[in-house]
Amino acid sequence: MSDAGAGAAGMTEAAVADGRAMAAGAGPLLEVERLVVHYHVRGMGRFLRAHETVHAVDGVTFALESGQTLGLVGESGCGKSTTGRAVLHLEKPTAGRVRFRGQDLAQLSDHDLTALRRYMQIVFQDPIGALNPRHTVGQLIGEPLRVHDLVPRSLRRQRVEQLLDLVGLPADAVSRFPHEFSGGQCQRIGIARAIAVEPSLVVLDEPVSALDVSVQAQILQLLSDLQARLGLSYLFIAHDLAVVGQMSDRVAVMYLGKIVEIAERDSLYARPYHPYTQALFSAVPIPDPRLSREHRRVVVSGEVPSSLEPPSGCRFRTRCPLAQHRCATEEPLLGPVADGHFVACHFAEEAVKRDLFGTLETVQLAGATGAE
Amino acid sequence: MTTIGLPSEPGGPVGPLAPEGPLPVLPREALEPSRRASGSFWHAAWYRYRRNYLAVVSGVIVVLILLVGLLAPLIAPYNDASIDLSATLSGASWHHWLGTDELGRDTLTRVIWGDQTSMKVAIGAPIIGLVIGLPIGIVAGWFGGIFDWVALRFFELFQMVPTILAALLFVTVFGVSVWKLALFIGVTLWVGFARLARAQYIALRHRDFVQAARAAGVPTWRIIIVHILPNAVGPMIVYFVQQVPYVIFTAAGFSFIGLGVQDPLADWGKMINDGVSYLQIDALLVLVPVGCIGLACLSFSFLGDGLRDALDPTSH
Amino acid sequence: MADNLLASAGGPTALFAQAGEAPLLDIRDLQVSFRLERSTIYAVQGFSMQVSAGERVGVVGESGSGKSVSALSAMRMVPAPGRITGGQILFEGRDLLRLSSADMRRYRGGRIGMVPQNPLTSLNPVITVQAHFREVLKLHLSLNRHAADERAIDLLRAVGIPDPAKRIREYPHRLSGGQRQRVIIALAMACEPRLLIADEPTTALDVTIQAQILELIDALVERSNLGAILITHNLGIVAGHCDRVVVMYAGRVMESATVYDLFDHPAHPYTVGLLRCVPRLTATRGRVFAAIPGQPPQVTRLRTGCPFAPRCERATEKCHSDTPPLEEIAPGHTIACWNPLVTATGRVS
Repeated sequence: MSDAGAGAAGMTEAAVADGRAMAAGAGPLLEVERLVVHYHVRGMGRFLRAHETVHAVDGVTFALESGQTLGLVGESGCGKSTTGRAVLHLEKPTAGRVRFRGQDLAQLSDHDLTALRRYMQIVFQDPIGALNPRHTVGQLIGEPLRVHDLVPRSLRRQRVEQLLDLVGLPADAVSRFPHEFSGGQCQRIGIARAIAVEPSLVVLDEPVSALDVSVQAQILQLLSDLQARLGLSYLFIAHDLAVVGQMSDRVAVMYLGKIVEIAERDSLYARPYHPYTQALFSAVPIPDPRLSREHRRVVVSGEVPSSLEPPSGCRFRTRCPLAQHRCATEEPLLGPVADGHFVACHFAEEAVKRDLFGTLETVQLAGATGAE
Repeated sequence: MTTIGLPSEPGGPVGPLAPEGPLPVLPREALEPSRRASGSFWHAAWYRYRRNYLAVVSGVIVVLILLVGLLAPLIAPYNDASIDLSATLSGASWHHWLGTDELGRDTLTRVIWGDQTSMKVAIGAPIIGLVIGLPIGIVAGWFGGIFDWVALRFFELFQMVPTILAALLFVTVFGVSVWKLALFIGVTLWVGFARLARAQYIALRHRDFVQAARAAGVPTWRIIIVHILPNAVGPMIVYFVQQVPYVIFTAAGFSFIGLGVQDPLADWGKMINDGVSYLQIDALLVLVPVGCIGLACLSFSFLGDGLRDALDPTSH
Repeated sequence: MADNLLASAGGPTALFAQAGEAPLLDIRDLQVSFRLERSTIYAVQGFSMQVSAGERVGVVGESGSGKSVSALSAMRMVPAPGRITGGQILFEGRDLLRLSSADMRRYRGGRIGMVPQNPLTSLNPVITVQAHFREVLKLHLSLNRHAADERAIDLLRAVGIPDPAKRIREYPHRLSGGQRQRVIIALAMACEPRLLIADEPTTALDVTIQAQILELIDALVERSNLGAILITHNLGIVAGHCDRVVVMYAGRVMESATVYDLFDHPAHPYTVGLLRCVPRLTATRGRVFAAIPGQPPQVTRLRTGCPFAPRCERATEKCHSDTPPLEEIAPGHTIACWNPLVTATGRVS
């Protein structure tokens, strides 16, 4: 990759080399390079404005190793869900490449792509909406089996019951309909459907956001166990840093269509460099009344700009306390700040030193008191 | 639990689902016992329908009307076309419960055969509308883009044409018979069905469960027919039933002006037309077919409302 | 005054408020049920809560707990087909359940302000922000248009909306989610209410915006010495922004205490379980996740026995057969449990 190419990917040469080394070795399960997803929407101006573009995802690069979990975290409009769908080619990427098991998805024929879909599945945010209300649970879970013709018809029911058992549902659920189940149970059904074909990759699009707290933990436990049993790789998309932190090996933080920081989970949570990452951490409510009142917490100001017209240069500069002239003219690229830890910020070192939002203090305090 | 290993491809990470080695046991979920009525969507709809007395009564009447039409040859007291000039324009009597017309034909018989004729048109036309409109609507709604654009232009084109005049034109050009009448009226109905199907498919195609089917690799035709159609069919059934009164009325109107079915066949509209000249002498000749049309229209209407409430509980 | 200082220091004002001062809002044994086609849902069975001026009370619960319905009842705004079937709601000494609709309307938006859950749907999309304010201010404070506009601009500035004079003429869809929520808060504060009810005010918002909004609510409560009810399912929010907490489950109060007592010495097994389930930033990867088996119920049959018993690891025979009453186990700390973790003498069992 030339310098220009690396620049477009939002990565410095060093990061690219690092990525290549990773790829050359084990051969990551999933490689996403400079993924771009733009939507055209009709403008709503006074005069019939021509099409405007929503920059949902604007050059995202990452890799996922087999058996690992990559957490993709960010707020609404950052493009994380779109990324998840684009990775599976449920949304057609505008540019960039998605390589699954070494194969470029865009180059595959429809037939081959369908065959490959068996190995990459998805679990949705809305557990009930993800299930066809007119189909029974047996039909829902059996459908992928039927499509990929993996199990002879006579054994299908047995297989479905096996899967229900695996996700912790009784066998008599087979003949029932989604509306007879609670949210958590529906999510189990959705998970059973996803693993029915024994995929390698499962994209989890906010799988627990719509669930009660006491049920969230059940589902996370289930996902964790299934990963151990079946050797799954997860792309775990969420807006909740705490949840992502419990599930991921590596975490990428997205803002307005770009990855602003990506690192090993422990490295990121111990020392977040990027100002936005710090803002995210500081905004998470701490379930400890003393800690949340004692520590100096600065709330980030402003709101996320529209993805129709992202700010020039660094997209976070409109809300960043460190923003300077350079931030408006030159877009920061992902560069290494520690082992396996990359940040897209011109002033990353200063940001982490100044602890802009009282984040590091919080994390250290919480860690020190063992508040768990 | 028996192990079923899935066929694996070279390089695939697949093995039997049953785990080896100790892993934390997942807690089992206990389901609440299934309540009798909360089964499939159709079950629940049936129970809702049953509690709507007006709809149930209307439904029974509709079924009766259809049965009478179906069994016409068996239950009509007289031969359809038998003319008895000795008993013209007689009022209600023991031999002729509803009297006779100017040619001595038994009114009751004519009403029964008219039922069959009217129902052929009244049900046949919407079927034709559905057959034409549904695929077009699905293509427009599911594929969108240029298909949708073209379909919408067709909708607009057809809606410019006044339907009744168009049907009249067909009749004058191509002549008329029961099936031709059903066809001509049916053709003017397709746009409504197509719009409805299009709206349903547009609304449903982005739903998560459809995306899930795509992610699973389900082929497009199967998604359209097996996954989406069962969800879309409710409003279409209601719409179908609601078109029937319109068709009855329109066909009756055609017959009234002499462009509907011709002798010796009769439908209710024709009977009104025939009988109007003799209104002073024997009002039954007009009142009976009018009553039949009214009853049929009302029943189908209320049935349609009842079906809508049963199939879409959120509508109230 | 002292109350305010304490509020800003983050101390528990509840204890001081109780000393001789009648609570602003006193809900006693509230019962609410929803009559459906084929069943009845007993959304709230015996809910009691008090809020004093300057005090922020958090009502915490999962789905089906009845938290929203309980707090909405304070404004008699239970959505149909729900009906309040019992209890008293004393606001400033008067039982709101006995008021006529006309009288009740004077309280809503006037003495009691509400911030509803979804900012997107809570503003009328076809009228401007200005019109929203004019309506409310005319109704409750009888302000004419100019006075209303001036006040609206002040309010918008107070809630942190930049350039309020311009913003006021806009339609809701032009504003972002966070801005809409600020407008709604401003509307709720417009007529200087004594009580503010916030129903999951930040659930639909991003976490960074959430932090801003919660800070705003805190500042408003402090400045005007309001009573506030914060309904949420997020224990983190409660820890940082409430003085007292009421934990609900299946329509009943399980535990009620000051925020410090609740987090330091939770006594009810449900509270304990809930606290364990909350995902923490510091949790490391791969731990076994603490969970409560089963799911929160919808109460369709009135049963005796503790509603949490089926999921409780400490459940005994008695828990399944007898309904535990709400009892005080420490000053200001009540709990409904036969087998709590802390006995009446304060020892951990």
